[in-house]
Amino acid sequence: MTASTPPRSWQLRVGPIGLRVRRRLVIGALTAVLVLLGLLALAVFTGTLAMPVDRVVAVLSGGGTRVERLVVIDNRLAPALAALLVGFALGCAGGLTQSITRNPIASPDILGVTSGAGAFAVLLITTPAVAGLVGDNPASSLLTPAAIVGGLLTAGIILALSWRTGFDGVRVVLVGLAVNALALAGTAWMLTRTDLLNAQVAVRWLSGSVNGVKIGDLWLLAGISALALFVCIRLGRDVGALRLGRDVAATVGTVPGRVELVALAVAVILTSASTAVAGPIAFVAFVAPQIAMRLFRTAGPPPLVGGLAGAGVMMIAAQVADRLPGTLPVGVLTPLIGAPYLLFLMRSYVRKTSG
Amino acid sequence: MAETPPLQAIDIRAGYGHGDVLKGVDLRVGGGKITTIIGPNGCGKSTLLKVLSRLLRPTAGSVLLSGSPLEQLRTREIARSLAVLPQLPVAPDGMTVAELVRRGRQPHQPWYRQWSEQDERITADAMRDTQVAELADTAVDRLSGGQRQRAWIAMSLAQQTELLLLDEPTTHLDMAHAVDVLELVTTLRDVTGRTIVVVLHDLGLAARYSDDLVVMKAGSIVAQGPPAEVLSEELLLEVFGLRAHLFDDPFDGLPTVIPVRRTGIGGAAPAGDGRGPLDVRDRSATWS
Repeated sequence: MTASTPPRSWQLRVGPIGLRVRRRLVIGALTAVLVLLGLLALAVFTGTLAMPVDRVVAVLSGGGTRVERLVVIDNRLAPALAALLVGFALGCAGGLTQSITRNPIASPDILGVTSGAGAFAVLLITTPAVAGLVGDNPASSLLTPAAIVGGLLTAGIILALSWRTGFDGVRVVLVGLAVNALALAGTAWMLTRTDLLNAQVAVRWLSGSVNGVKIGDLWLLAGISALALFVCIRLGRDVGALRLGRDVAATVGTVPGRVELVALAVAVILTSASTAVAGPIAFVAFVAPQIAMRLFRTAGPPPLVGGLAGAGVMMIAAQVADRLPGTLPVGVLTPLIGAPYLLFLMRSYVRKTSG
Repeated sequence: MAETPPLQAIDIRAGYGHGDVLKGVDLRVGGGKITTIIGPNGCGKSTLLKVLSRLLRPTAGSVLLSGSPLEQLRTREIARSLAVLPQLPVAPDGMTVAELVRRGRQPHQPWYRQWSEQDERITADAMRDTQVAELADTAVDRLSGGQRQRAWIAMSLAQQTELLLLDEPTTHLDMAHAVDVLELVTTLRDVTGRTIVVVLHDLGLAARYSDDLVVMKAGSIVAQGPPAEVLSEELLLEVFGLRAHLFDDPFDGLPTVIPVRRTGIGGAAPAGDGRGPLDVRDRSATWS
């Protein structure tokens, strides 16, 4: 039986730093990083347009012709890096919110943070006064702040409506579902009110795509992801303690309200920034931490390796979308992975409660 | 002047937003004793335990931990001298006993040092003392009720605190396992000298396993002291609406509570003073 074999651990002691980690988690995370590097190489070295390996290497080391640079950097590297970063950000955000609410449904995409960020971006695109500034570049400079403001505002509304004497996971989920519905309705309404050209730009952006993303569009998300990495390491054990319940967490020295607010803020910023880059991507934030939890047998959805799983899901979906006939946006494929998984989860829930 | 008690509550009022559940409670615990809080449902026992451990902020009054008001202490500082076990805690699926018990070391560790030989030794000791050492690598959700409760107590032990607060640690346990848990609590008092506060439902167990009883009714403490001095048949009737015989156990002299049966036995007339089985006047106290 697998459950009765002891989870082997490694102890690490370097100066003042001391750590104890399950071997499975370390090996799994390292494997995941290797797989991600492999996917990145696959994306850069292969593609619909054949190009010799030495030319790709030449471009990567700073050479190559203008056309070659366009193919390798803009059409291959930038979308792949965007998929990697967006996937990591979403997976990490989902792991954080699922952990602090102790609820697998409570991921930012299901709670409406993604839709809220999307609604704000659409508002920007469809408002004539600013639409001209945006052009049809989906990741232009104004969309990013708009999506981030929209995500934060949505999260603020969800929190304000669900906070009573404290933070309550179930209430957050119910309020989030309502806010999500409102944001989607608002987006649809704005689309019907705008002219065809703006609607086209907005719909393209809303379907969620990493094609057309420039390297320069990724710096903000990269910075935010690095910050999130640090926060996850710093707050890791507090988030873990919250999985035992707020009361137990408090008795071992975690301040529940503070950790919940920081984790939620980081999750919302990650989600909004990734929405700004690739549009609203469905189900990655929800499904990635759950995949990581089962793959690495962690107690609860893990934010960091959840991020690695998210990056994997996004990069695979992006590659598949890229190689299928017709230009499919990656956002169309992620629900195809996520939705069946949600159904599977629901089925095992029913079995658990009735069994 | 008496010396500063490890934990003291002064004129505590507290509730959940709809009026006070606790209506002015004073309490001092310490001296390596087991203090058990008893009282009918809804009297505020668990609320008092929450206030004592700062899980609930009182609306008035204050709680002093070794003389310092709780609200002036950092959560981590409190966690180093006071461990609490809430009622029926739930561990996430797949978390092992050892992982759970290791969580108890958190208040003593800086964030960058979540493991050390010392932590490992204390964790192992805590599991040994609660007899869950051989279950160290078993998932908590696969344990029986009694094992699970011992695993959680091991986590609180690993905190190495002077004070241990347990909210109904015997809930949902059969009598043999409930006795096991309370025997463990008694051993902890004797071996480690911890001061332990327990909320209990079962009057019989409370009478047998406590150094001091705190009897609560409707948000106030109505009696306090060693079980033999505090318990009386009048008090049981008055506080719990329970008609019971109280006598000293002929084997070990501990106070023993035997409920009076109100329906007749073997077709005999109802016991007691002719009060019928449907007469529940005295039980009204339970609902206040």
